[in-house]
Amino acid sequence: MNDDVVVRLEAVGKRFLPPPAPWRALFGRPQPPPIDALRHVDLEVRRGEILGLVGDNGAGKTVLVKLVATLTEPSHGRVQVFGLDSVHASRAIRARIGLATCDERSFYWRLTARQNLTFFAQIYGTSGKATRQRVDALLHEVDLAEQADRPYRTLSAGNRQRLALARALLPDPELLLLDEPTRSLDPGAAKRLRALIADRVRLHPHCAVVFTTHDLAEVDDLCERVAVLTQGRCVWAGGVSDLRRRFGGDDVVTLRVRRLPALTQADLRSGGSALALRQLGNDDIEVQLPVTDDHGAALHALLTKIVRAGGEVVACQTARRPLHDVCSALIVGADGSPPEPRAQGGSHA
Amino acid sequence: MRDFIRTLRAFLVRDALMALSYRLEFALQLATVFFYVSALYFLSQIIGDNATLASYGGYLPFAAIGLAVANYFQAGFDSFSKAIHREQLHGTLEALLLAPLRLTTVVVACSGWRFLWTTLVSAVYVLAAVVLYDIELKGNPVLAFGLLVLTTLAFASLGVLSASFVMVWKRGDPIGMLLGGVSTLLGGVFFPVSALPDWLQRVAYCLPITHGLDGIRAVVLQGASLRDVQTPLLALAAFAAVGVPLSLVCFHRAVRRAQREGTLLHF
Repeated sequence: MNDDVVVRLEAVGKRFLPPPAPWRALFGRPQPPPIDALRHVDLEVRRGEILGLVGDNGAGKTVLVKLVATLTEPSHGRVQVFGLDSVHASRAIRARIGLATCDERSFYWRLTARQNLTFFAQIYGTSGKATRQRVDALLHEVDLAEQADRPYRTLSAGNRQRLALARALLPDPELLLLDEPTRSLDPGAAKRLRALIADRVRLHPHCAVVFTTHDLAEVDDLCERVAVLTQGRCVWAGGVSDLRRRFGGDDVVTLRVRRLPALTQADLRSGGSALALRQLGNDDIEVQLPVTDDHGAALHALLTKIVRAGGEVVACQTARRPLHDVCSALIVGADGSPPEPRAQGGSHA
Repeated sequence: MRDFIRTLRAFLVRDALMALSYRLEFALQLATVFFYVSALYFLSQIIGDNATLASYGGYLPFAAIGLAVANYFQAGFDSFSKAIHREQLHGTLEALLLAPLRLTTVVVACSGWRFLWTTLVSAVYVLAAVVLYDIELKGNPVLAFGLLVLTTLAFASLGVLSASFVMVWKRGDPIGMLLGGVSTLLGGVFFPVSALPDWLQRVAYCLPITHGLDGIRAVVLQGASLRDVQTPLLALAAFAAVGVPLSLVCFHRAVRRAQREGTLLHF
């Protein structure tokens, strides 16, 4: 395995079988079908990168994270972390990874934040003064020092998430797995947490991060690479910018036009171009033009047409198409079914 | 070994802090011991002089030692499964299993506080009986301790088997329900096994608790020597030698199965 590759998934599948229910057969009722949480997933994560793992509920993100964390085993295929097999070398892998989930129940509610962190630091192998120093440093790093002696149950959702991050950082991990770490946070707290993660990778370039989220703006903000999961399949693994480029993620020029005659509006709509028109609340309409290599000429022609027709351009801005739109197009094919995998493996497509 | 002691210490401190955070419960648990000992005293007054119990110094010493050892039995029996179940309920089991620890270390360390607490409670039982009701303790304390350790190991192997059931089926552990109840009834905690019909006595001697109680009572209340307690000593050693490795293998398999099925956190 290439030294740069921290995680490699090869044709990984995870099937959950329903619990045996002989009485169903006895009464002629059908057995519930097995659930394929992951199907033939190939993926690589490299040092120094933050991989965004996105997908709808039930897409298989958490299962994938747990497989890498050695908390569950693949039904098919192979998971390698640091070149070690996740089933046979799980203890060696666990010493080098950190996992933070959005599950608030993963701490002892009667203990303070400091007591919780001290306990986990000790079972991770530190003792005495080293434990105190490590715990203090991490509480400071995640900006929890002032709340450290409050019982966990009294901490806010944001601070609980910070504590989960601090615990994940205890072993100074080479691989940090973050399962929806910002799920219950307000936008400000989520932004601060993302900054913490970005800082971590900047200051520790040997470290890799896998970050699962529903919020694609976060991926845009934080990740260079993204893996898109849908119904257990990885339909894209590659650069965020490549994803935009390949799946219609062009920037768009948006014009807000006032008093544009209906005839001209109809003319623009029937023009067969890439223009998109939308009626706004008042008499204004919004016109969107994709940014392409020759969009300058198209924009010139459009503005000329609007002005000559007596329309007034009151606002003009260029914006990136939201990543959400790009991923939605990727996840749901034209017929509403998921598309076939298009970019797999760890290639920096 | 140093790693194990450090981990055990971390778990003990954690559990002590949590126990102390429920101060009223902590105090009431200790107070309950005095109520039990007093109840045994008044029972012994009603029972009076009984030929079977005379060699133990009467009913109170017999039952006080019985209760103290039964506490260990209960701790060995259910502390592992309860510890696993508690971590599942807290949602902390995955966090513990993510630490680079041996599974055996996690299981033993999770139960450490329960054994420490049981030692304290059992000591209070015996002390209360000695101080308040003047019962006499005899015999070699090292031998008694050795018997107690073997008894605990034999109980613990059943306890780890019980935890394996909890890991896979979450509730409805048949070992805890059947063997636990039968052991308390037939093991001779509250009355001598000789009071049972012959065929039930044979069943009773298939249980580790019966040998544990026989041995410890013989040493502590009758001043028996190593030679006198050879039979229970060997029986307990056999239970432990077979039970401990077998139960650990079962527990490893149970955890692997829960990991494969993705049910570690289910309860």
